[in-house]
Amino acid sequence: MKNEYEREDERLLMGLEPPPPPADLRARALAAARQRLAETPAPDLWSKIWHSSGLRLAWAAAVVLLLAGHVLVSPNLDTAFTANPPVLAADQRDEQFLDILRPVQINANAQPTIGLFAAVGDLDQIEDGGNPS
Amino acid sequence: MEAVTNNPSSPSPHRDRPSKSEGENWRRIFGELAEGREAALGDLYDAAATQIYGLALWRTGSEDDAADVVQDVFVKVAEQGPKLAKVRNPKGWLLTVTHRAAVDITRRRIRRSAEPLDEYPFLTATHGDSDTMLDAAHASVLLAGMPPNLRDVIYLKHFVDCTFAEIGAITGVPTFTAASRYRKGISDLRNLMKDEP
Repeated sequence: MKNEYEREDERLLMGLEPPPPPADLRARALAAARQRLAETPAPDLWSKIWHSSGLRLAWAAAVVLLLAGHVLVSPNLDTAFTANPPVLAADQRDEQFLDILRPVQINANAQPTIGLFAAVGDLDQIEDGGNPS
Repeated sequence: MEAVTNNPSSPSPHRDRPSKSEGENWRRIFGELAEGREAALGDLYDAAATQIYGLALWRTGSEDDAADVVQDVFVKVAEQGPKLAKVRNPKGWLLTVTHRAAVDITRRRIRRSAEPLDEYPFLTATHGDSDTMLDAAHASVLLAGMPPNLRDVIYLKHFVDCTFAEIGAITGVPTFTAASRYRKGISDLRNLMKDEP
């Protein structure tokens, strides 16, 4: 429902209208638009993927799911393994470590062949009989 | 001067009131363009060119510039491609693009300066009698003396039947500013028409 002002406004320009576009403008405008369409290369696969709103949504959903899964699956810090010396001692874990670290000896009675523990003449004995170790 | 009122009910592209089916038709055309159907460009021209050209003409004041604006708008439509499917209000989008293109071309023309405006073909008579034609020429001269930002608001309100909110969105001003520009423009035009013999 128009009020009196609006009806008066309409009467002001009644019988008048803007001129129509020139007759040849249709062909010119459409030709320009079609030329631009032809110049525009078809988007490649990666562009389609990059601009695809559906794939973007899927990517965002995947990130959210991964984060949620990480939070749910990650170990609870309160129950994580911590070193407890009495328990280790009871389990004799230190002894096991010592066994691992203990150097392997071919002969427990072997003595160094050189240095302070080598007696005089030992070198000759070695030459004659070979290294006892 | 009082505008001629004979046969006011005659059909005119500018007088057609927007309808729901018109909006759906524009969205259909945009959808087809988004899918790459070149033939839809012709449908779009037939549906929109009168309003695009009219707004460009009232903004630039030059038939040549208005024709250039129409070409620019159709090139921009072609550039959008699939993005056109996301446009919710094709008519508003097209008129906004038109307004911006017309403002740009007007600025370039001002920089060139010293170029006289055309013969101000803002209005023509819907019927070919001499009185109406004289009125159209006279009103065009009066419109030529108005600032373009008042002129294009009058065009959008009076000939495209946009709401002030739509005019504000198209011209990039608040709704209240669009309404006040229309009131000032139409009031100035009425006063000028009364003052003239």
